Amino acid sequence: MSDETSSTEARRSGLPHSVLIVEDQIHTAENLRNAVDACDDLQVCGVAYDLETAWAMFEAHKPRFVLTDLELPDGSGVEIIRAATDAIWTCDSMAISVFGDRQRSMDAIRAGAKGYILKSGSVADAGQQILSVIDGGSPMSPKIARYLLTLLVPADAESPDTDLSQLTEREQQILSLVARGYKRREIAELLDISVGTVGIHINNTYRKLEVSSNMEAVARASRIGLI
Amino acid sequence: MTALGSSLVTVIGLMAVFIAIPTEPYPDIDGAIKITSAQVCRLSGDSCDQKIAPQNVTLPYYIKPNIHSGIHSARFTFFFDMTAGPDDVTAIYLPKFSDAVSVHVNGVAVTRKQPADEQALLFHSWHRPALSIVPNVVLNRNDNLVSVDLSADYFNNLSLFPVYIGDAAALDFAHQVRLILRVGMARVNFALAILAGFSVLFFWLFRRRDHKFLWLMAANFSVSAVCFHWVYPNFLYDYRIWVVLWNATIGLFAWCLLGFTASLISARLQAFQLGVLAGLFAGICVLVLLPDEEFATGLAGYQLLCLCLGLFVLAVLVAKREKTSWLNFSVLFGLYAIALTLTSIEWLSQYVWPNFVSIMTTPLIPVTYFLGLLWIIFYQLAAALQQYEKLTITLQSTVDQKSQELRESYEKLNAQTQRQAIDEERQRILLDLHDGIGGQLVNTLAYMASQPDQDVVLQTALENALSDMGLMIDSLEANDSISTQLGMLRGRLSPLLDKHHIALKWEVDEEPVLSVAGPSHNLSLLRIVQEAITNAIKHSKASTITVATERCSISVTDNGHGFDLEPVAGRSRTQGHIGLMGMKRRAKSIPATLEISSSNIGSKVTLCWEMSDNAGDNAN
Repeated sequence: MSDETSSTEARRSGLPHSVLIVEDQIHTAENLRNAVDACDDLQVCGVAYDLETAWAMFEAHKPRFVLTDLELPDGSGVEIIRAATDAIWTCDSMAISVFGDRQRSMDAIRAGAKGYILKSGSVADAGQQILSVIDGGSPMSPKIARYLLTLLVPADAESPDTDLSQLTEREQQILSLVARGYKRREIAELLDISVGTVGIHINNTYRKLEVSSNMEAVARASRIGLI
Repeated sequence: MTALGSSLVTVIGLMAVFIAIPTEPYPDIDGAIKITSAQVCRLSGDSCDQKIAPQNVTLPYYIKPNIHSGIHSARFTFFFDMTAGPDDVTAIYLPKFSDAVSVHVNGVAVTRKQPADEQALLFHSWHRPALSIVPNVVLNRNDNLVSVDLSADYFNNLSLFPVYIGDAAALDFAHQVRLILRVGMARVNFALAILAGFSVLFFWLFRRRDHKFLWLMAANFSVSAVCFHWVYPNFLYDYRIWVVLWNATIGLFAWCLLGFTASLISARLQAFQLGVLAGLFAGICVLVLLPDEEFATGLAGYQLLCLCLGLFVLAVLVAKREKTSWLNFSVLFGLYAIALTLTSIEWLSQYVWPNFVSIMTTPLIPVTYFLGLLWIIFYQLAAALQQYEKLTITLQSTVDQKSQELRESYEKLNAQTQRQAIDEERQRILLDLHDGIGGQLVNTLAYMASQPDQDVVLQTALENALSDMGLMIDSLEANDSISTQLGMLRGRLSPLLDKHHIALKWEVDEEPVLSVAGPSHNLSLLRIVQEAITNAIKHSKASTITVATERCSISVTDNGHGFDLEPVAGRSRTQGHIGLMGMKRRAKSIPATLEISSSNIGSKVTLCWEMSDNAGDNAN
């Protein structure tokens, strides 16, 4: 799930991007810290083991990137993700997940995260994944893509009928290929477009999800009488 | 045309009925004698015309006019003997006559000099009976001479009906009754018609779209105008003009009746109606302008025109009887026909055969009309009520039905929401379980990786457990799409592939569809594929592994050095061999067949199963 890895930003400013890690399992956290620090353009500014510490570190360090587990002993990591999305400085976030299960991934994505990093298996390319997100990419797992296909294609009358919640043909094509396990390079080859274009389409899909999930939230709220 | 014919036949038939009814309209009165014969002579001035011999006639007797302008008169003379005692008062009672009357007994006038205006030539009294008290001093015992002088306009008949002479008290009673029946009823009809007109107008205000009520109202007012003639025949000085006006109101009434009928059956006769109105107006103009000689004929002709119009109205009703209910049609037809017949009898009596029907028909006409009016109004009311009831019932049943549907959909929604909530809860618990255990496993592996001494067996065991849990979760979350689960597997295997520097060719072109789909079967498939790929990574020393799918098969190919399919007897079973047995068993449970081919240039593991009929289009 990685795009071109040149992070011109870091090189230009000369400073590595600061990364905040929030993970309550100690050894997993150490693993991640080592993996991220191994990357030249990244530097771990702090590791928090619970939400309270995470908040404090977030305010203090104002990190460029936040990597957070969702199940924390004193709360949900989604709050930090939301804070990262709403931060006045440029701040991206990703969730740390064992299996990339859909429910938690969707929660994180809806809160504004760009995806998740699997902590099972090797975390060696965690740094690369972070850099590609800082570059503007949105990694998407096959499961998420499959789910989005059901979410964003309006088959029933429930979804609002604006263009924002509907996928274009190209987006649908790309999503289907991602859902079947193809990587971006392969998709670009198959569809005869550039890898960058593939990334743009995937980003657009995320934005539509945000809009659609906003509308869904509005619809849900109005249905239960909040609005 | 047949409508016209059947209407005509009905009218003639009814006429026959009326003719056939024998009645005695002038019964004997106790205490009085009825005079039914007299001698008549035409009057010129105050005495009989010598040129024409007097005739003996039976009463009732009609004299047609023999002049073409002015007034014609006649004198009826008869004798009677006194019947009353010396203390009783005698009176002469004339129930019906036309037109102005003056009675002399033994040369003495017993009728009042009518307060006629100077300009008026006659005081018309055809509409009322006359009773005159005869003073006893005038009377002889026997052979009293009575002369009844009648005068009428040149266009009206002279007529005298049986005369009664006798006890004043008895005759007074008969006179009162007759007054009520003729004069009183005329006034009642007049007032009733006006009242009815306003009532219908009021009625129309609630049903403005219904034009027939406007017609009905107009008909009512024209009826009142017609009745006015019976109330005040002496209203205008010029009787000729008055008569013309009266005929105009008759024509108007017939025209309103036409309009009402047309509206009732929704016929499009507007042009015709206008034509009729123009014709009636023209007729009136003709009547006004006609010279005196033709006036009587003109009247007869105009009234015949109105009668024909009435017949046409009846025919129109018959022709379009399907436009209204059967009950409404029969009642209206009956009443129309009777009214038309009565009017025709009147006309025939006036102009052709005087007194050919013995029954008194004139009072029946307004009665018929008002019956018709009442019927129309009540019928409308009943129809409206019925419609209202029907509407209410329909509305009620619709409301009930919709309420029921709403209730059912609410129940369904509730059930669905509940089910959804339970499913979500179940899912959450499951995930928490896996996440908890998985997180611990990951942590343990991380710890182990950081240790100097690494227990490979333990590590492998833990890693296998972790990857199997990943498979399990994917089987539930991938929307039943096998290709998606394969994609997730690829993601999990990527680090291992990179570590061994193996390239992966991904050819998942078709969505594999199991005949018996479901998470458990999908899971079995994925476990087999995972094992096949892992075997290839660990043992084949290949540089490229290809994963390809078709609708009914998944294959894993590698370009390694192959492996032994059959264990050599004596050698202990290798882990790999046990693994192959497990894979075969798992495949059979799906059910699917596992085919393995291996050579020194590569191996291919193929899973295939039966084609399914149902379209499982989760993916494209």
